[in-house]
Amino acid sequence: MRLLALLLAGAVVSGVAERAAAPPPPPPAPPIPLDVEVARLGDAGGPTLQLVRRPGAALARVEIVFLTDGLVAAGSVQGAELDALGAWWTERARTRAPALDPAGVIVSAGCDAAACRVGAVGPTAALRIAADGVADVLASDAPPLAWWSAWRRAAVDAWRTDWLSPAIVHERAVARAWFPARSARRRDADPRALRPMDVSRAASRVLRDTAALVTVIGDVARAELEPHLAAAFGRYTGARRADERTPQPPAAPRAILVDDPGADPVAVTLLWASPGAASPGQPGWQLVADALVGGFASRLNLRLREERGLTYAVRGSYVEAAAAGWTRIDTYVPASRLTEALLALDEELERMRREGPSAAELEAARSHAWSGPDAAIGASHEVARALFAAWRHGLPPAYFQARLGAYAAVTLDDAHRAAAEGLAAPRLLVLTGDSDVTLPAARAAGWTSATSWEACEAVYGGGCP
Amino acid sequence: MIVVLLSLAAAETMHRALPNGARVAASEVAGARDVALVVHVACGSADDPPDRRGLAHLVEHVAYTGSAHAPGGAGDAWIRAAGGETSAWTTADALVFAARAPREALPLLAYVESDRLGWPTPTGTSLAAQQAVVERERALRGAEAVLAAALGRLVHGPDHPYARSVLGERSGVARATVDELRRFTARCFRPDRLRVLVTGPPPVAALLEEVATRFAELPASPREEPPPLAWAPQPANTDGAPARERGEGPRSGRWWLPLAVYPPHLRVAWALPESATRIPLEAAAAVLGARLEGRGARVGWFLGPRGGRLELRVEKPGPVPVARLRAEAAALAVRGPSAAELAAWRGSARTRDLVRLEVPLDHAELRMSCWVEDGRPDCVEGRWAAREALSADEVRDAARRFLAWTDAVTLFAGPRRRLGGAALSEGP
Repeated sequence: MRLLALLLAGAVVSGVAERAAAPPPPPPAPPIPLDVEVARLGDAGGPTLQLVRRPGAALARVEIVFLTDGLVAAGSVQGAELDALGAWWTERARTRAPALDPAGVIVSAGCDAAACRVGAVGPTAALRIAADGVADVLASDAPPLAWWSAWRRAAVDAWRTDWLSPAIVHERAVARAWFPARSARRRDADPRALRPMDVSRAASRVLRDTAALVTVIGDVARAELEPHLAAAFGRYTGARRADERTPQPPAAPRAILVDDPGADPVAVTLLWASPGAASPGQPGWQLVADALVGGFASRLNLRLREERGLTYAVRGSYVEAAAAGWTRIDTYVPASRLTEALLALDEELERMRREGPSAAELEAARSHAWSGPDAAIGASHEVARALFAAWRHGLPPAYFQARLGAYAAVTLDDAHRAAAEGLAAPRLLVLTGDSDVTLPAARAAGWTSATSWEACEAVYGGGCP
Repeated sequence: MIVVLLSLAAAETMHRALPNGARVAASEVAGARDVALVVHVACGSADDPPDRRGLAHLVEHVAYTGSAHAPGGAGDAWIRAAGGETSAWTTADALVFAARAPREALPLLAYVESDRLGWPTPTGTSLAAQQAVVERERALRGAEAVLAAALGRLVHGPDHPYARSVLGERSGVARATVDELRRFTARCFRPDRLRVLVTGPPPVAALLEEVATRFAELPASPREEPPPLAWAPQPANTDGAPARERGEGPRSGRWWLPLAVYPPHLRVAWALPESATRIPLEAAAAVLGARLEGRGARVGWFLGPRGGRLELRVEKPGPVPVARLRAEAAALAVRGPSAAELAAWRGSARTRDLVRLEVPLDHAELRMSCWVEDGRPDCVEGRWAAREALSADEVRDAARRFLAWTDAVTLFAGPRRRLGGAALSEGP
């Protein structure tokens, strides 16, 4: 066995000597410019049309998105009504499938907290069929009683028992802590009082009272398609409303401890305020955030996962709403090592705040930004998502691509300043786990201001249904 | 070396067999800026030694801690610096390593990925760190992993590789040594077990050449074959009466797995034999899925070199629609799909493929999976033709053969028994 090991080692050593060194990483490649044509559909101020021509593309995509955020804020539509509408449009898309799928057109639909979306993808030659499929979903009548009864029963069952899912409990707790006013309105996600006419009412308000964006991506000329799209969607003339995604960050570090008896691992989320979409500090913070938590090679993953085995992954996101932004970090850690993990997170965030990213980290983050979603270089649904994100903020369609130039201009000093400013805001910590574990761990890690919630309080804002 | 040029409507594809036994292919993604590189190693958790379940998955993790010419994770840092990213996963049948980056970084991708396989350097430090990470992963997947393992044991039999979790067993992972990792990689990271696929913008010949150059540097596979697997194939469920009489093979009927999982999970599953053919099965699964979608059920299935499994999945609170699932499966086996359903499947399946083919990494994953199964990298386009030629009778026959309710395993996982059936503890 020892002789075999020596032979193997020798083979490896001789292999090492024979191979040339790795080629150096090439300089970051700029994104392909996104050529977007913008127009308004119809004669009466219909939806904005953004068309991206991709010569030679086999597939085409058409979608319409209605911004529902402002409707909920104004109390015109309740959260449960939007949930029901999304489900009904999804069912409508499904029932249309036998007629559309033979042409290769797949229609999908759904509503979330921010928007209702109906879209279709299929061969370029079937783009008009795809647009008609989308229009057909939007023109749905009220749902039939049989479907409604089954859906409502399932929705009530799910709503009643949401508090049993640790993942749902944690997400609701994070939302309630970070958007308390919005969460108070979402208490109306109770589906028990819904009726079929509520779905029709919600649909008419969404279609009439919200701004809409129509996105088309494919090998298609605007001139030949625009009349068809105007006929299908030109009647949706709603106006834009204010983006209500305004968080309420804490004035001082604050911890929310949601009790989940016996839970192991513990769900950990950290949030803090960050630059908004149009802020001059956005490019610098984007790169710092990427260095901190962008992928398995980011700093938090290297320290907490690779070096210390504290977690399977640290995931992060930086959201830039129009008025304000925020950064969020999520991970799961073993209950037995929760204190260690909280201290390690704090230590790494403070180190980044004091020292900023290294030159290598900054360059890697810059390269990553040029290859990420902002570059809008991937699949048609990724391009559509990037266009929607810009439009949602009231920004020009190529905003994200234009911002890539700003990333190139961020110096190491800029990044250090961005880290110092971006990590100065008080943080919110949300832990979902056994309170016998989370409370002492939070205190040991220096979180002196802690509020305890039961699961039902996190989900419903009060007692269990 | 054999260079094969296949020019098709969807994508130009070339492939080549290298002198060291590795197989390399390249496929075009028109208009893409990036490239993707996927390496398939024909060695997975089915090759775990019996007392080291989870070794293959551990090897996957340790492979990212460095190699001889890219030590300490330098390779992944270089790829990230070039604007790319890497990932990997383990199945019962394979280890798969994937990377994506701008086109200009392809020589670097090929270097790093070939070095990872040709010159692995596991150490005690890297092993210990990854053992901890794997345990974090096990804790995260928790109930889902228990459910999958229980279902696998019921459907395939307790000794079948598809009955085991890729994550393995805590004791097996904890006791693994560096020597065992080295032996496993020596046995599995052989060029003759590698398929390498690169996708990206044309010219395809350049993509192929840059990747082949690097993978040709891997030392040739030793003459002798590694020792065969200890596991022997089980009889297919439809022919498996002797197996069931021996208490081996699928355990059809109803089972309850007491599990603190929300929402409760229902699984109705059938074992698929190694002889099952893909296209009729794909059609049957798609038609059944479309019929059940409105009732909150989804269909999932896989087919590998050791057989496969088809599952109906329901994950929601409230009544459990077993009778409806049974009725739909029976209807498909008796009458087959309608012409409209078959046409809908053909159209939507092709569009779904095209959606994946738009993006280099998705394209590479799709083409690699069918290359492994069908034996040639232009298989995607071949499947389109096979779908067009498939008849409703063939779909009906597949449903009749593979979806007999008497062969189904019905497993309900939740805190309370809902369907009757025997209770499972750690397994049947």
